[in-house]
Amino acid sequence: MKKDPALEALFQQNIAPDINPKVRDEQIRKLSHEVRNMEYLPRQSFAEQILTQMSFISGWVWLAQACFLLFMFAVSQNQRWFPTYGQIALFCLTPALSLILTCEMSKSFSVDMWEMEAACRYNLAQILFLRLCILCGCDLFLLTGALMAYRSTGGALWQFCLYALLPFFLTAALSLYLLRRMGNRCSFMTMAAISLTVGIFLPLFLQCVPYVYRIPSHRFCSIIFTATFLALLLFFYNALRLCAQQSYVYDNRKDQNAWNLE
Amino acid sequence: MELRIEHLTKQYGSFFAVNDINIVLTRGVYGLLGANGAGKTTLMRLLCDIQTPTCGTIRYDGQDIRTYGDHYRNVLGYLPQDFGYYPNFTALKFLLYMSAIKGLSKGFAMQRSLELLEEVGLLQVKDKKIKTFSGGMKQRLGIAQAMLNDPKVLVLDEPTAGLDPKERVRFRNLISSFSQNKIVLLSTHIVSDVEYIAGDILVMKQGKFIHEGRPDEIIRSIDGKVWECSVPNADVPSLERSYNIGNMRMEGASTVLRVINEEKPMENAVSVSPNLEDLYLYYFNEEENMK
Repeated sequence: MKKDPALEALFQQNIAPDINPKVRDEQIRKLSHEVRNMEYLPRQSFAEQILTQMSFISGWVWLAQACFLLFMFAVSQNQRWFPTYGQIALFCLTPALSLILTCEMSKSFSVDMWEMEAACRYNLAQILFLRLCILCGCDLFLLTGALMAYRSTGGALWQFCLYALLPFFLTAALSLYLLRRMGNRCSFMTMAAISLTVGIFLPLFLQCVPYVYRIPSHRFCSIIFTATFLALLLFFYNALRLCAQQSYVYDNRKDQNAWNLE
Repeated sequence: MELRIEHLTKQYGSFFAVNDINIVLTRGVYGLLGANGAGKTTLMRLLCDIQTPTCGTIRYDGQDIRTYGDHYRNVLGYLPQDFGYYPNFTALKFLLYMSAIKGLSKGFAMQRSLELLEEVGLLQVKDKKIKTFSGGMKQRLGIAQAMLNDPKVLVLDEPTAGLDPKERVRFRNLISSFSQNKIVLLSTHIVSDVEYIAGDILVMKQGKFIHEGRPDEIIRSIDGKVWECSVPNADVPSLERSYNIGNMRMEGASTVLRVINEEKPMENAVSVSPNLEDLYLYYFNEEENMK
């Protein structure tokens, strides 16, 4: 092909400027984002799945958790109130905090959405696991906040375990156990009853058995720490078993899978 | 595209909810007909990988659905029999939620949700809470969620139960329009639902398929077993006890009965051509009476 000198001269006069790397990177980022959005079934990272699922967590969960944190902060500001009212508040509120977790975990069953969710790409087990991660993350943050507030008033760690962590994990473990065994037959009322029982009877029990406080403190602390640790294990055991279930069909008839060798 | 079911069994103790089913489903609408407790819902749950079979396999294009996992669920749409909604969700938010757990991208989900809301006639109420919807609207929203991922296998468990006739017709038409190039399995005990839209009918009884084929072929199996006769009104109660009676129509002092029976029930009875409802009564009336 013969060169056209006029065209060549025109090209020489109008050389394209260098591409600004910042602009180029930004453009690539935007286009990748666009392509990902247009893709029908994109691969999602775990963090993306968490973020997506977070946007569908009920609003009242965030509200209740924010109220808990604010309340703990407000009570901890009053040094005179905290030893008595703070402990009572912890005793009463942590089972309620746990009730929020289990209610949100069980909402698929309570409104009969579980069957539709189980047939989706991220099936029920995965959805429950995502919810567990979100809610446990939030509760960890809240309990850490409550612990800091409690410690700032001179409270001991064993006391926090006794008044906050033990009732929290105990309530959650019992509720998740029932949810695992009963599915949609485990209603909100059942879980609320567990929460109330732990919230009321645990402090009453401790009040009625004053000699526990006469046990040498280091031994008593060990008992509390061990009980809290066991409740924590029980909670995680039930939560993970719930998320790893093969089937969420709860039938009174006894299932037989023993001889499926396919 | 095929769904191959081989020796599928679901056993609870000594009770077989699904008993050694073998069938190959290809493109088309299959109507699953059976009385309550025949094992329809269990079969549907097994097909959707919600329950584990006691033995046997379900293969989608040669892949076992148990191991195919989310790849299978990507091509699956399911509308369960008894389902609910998060009450505070609006119709659009519900579809976006279902899109999210079906793994659809955000952009696509919004576009698809709006499209489907329009198709099922709920676009006007997309921002209304589901708890304010009627039963028919909820069912239509249910099928919209099943269609979000443009499934290749669509499983509908008793989708028309509890709907009034107008809504049922509307719903049937929706299913027909959605069924192109798909394997659609529709379970019901309402005979007219499958009569109009199903290309093939599977009749299920005590966990087994007792008949499968085109509606006219199946109906032919009870040729010569449906009779019509006119009897005095006073004789109707005793005949009802002795025979399997389909429809009855009063005409003055006499009643015209439609009797489903192997033999001619009485002298003046004339053989009439059977329909799907007669077939249902032929196979399931005895069972219903026992209940």
